[in-house]
Amino acid sequence: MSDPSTPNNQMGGFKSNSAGTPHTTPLQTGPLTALSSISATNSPVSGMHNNLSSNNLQSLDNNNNRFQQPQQYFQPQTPTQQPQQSQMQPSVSNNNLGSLTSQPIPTPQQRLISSSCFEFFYIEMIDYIMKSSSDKTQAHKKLDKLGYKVGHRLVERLSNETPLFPELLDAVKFICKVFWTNIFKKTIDGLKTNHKGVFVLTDSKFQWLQHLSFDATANNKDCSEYVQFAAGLIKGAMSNFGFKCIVSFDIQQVSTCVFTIKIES
Amino acid sequence: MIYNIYIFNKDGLCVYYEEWNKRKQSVNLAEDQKLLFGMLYSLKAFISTSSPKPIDPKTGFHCFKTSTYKLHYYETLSCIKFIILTDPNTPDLREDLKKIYSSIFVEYVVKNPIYQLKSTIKFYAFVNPIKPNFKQKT
Amino acid sequence: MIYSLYILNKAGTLIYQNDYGPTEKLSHNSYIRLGSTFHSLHAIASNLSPVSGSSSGIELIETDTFKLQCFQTHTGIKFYIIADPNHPGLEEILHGIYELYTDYVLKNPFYEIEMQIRCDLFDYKLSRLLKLTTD
Repeated sequence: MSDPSTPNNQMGGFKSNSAGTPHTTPLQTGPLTALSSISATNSPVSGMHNNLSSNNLQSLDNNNNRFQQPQQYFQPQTPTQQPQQSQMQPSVSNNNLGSLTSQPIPTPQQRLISSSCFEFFYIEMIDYIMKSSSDKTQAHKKLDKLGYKVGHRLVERLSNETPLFPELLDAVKFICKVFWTNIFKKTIDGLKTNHKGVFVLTDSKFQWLQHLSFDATANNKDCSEYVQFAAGLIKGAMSNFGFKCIVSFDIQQVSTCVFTIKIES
Repeated sequence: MIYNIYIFNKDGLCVYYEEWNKRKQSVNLAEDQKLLFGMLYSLKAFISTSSPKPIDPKTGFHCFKTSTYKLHYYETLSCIKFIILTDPNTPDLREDLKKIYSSIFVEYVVKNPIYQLKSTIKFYAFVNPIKPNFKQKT
Repeated sequence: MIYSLYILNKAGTLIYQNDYGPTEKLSHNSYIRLGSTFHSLHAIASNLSPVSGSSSGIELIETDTFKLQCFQTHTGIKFYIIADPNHPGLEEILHGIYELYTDYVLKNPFYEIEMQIRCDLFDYKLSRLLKLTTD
């Protein structure tokens, strides 16, 4: 399975190296990715790097043994796929639109992305942004904006087949379930609301804080920059549904994050 | 019976040191660490020359024993060295060192956003698993 | 399978070296250098001991491709062999070699103490002993 020409195989040549290999979690794409988009737009990464062409991604895949090599991006249309796709057509049965979407929507083969790779990248990205401005609040605003853009676009893709949300609560539920699962492979653990436009989302094992720990002697235990991006994601998602809001967060204990959404009416 | 553990990075800086049951008080810990690092460096060069077959000094050297202690050694490809000193009758602890590297060091030090490369490690998420891990062996 | 034998005197100088198995032949200077390196490593190892009380130097080194067993006499002479990683009974072999040393080297009136060993009888007896152990 491993290609001798890839640099990673040199590491694999010694017996003792299996120790530090990255964890992979299949960032699986469900029926939603039957869309013909090639790049791994399911990961938040791609939202930021719009120029990330499929070529780059493929080379990224090639460099890690754990990635499955996508043999081809499009599977040939099989008869069983068709009835599925007709369900995915929007309810508007306009001829023009119908012809666009009645083309067979191919399902790319399952592609895996290494979650450790993303975590390392995320650490460096946060570091870079925090260093880019001397004022901490400015840096936080940048992160927020970044998250906003990514969340905005991500939710566009993810909500492709879901019907319009009749209520605000449904939009929030979508974020708790589908949106969060797509990014973190788990749902939000707790949702509370006062029915007046304030929602409290609790994630008891926030993935990006899992490996973070401080010196026992450290005075300043502030790791809010690592969560700010996620708050921006939520804000962007909500705004794309049409609900402008303010998202604040609170880090409790170890890796428990509480996000508070306040809708601006 | 485990005496102490050292973790060195590529530049010879001891990023983590912990001792249990050490009977002898060292005069200067930093000097001891430097001595150990230098000695291992020469030892690796020695074994690569004396070996009858070609050997990789990083992964080839397992341990050495004297009358009062045994030193177990595990080096990763990124030149992080894990060293444990135990009593002479302990069986090979390389697997344990490997486990410490893969499941504790990588998870809680390498992936920790707060960790600055080349600094010493005091994170409780790292220190806490190590202590009980070895308490049960002492 | 025993690959080689080295004997160092009290000062750490190589006084005897021989190969008995398929191993790379180095120049004489390299052997001398190896011997002195081992002498220093042996000494530093006893300094590194975490236990109070005197520690001997390195007695055993285990690696992927070979095992090195060392025996130091009370007079400071070090005998060390390089053998297969799972070769049994190296300690007895070293004791046997020590006996041969006392018999055929120290009792040889032409041998200068602490100098290079050039005794044919010693070589012969050694190779016989090592052949016996490999059979």
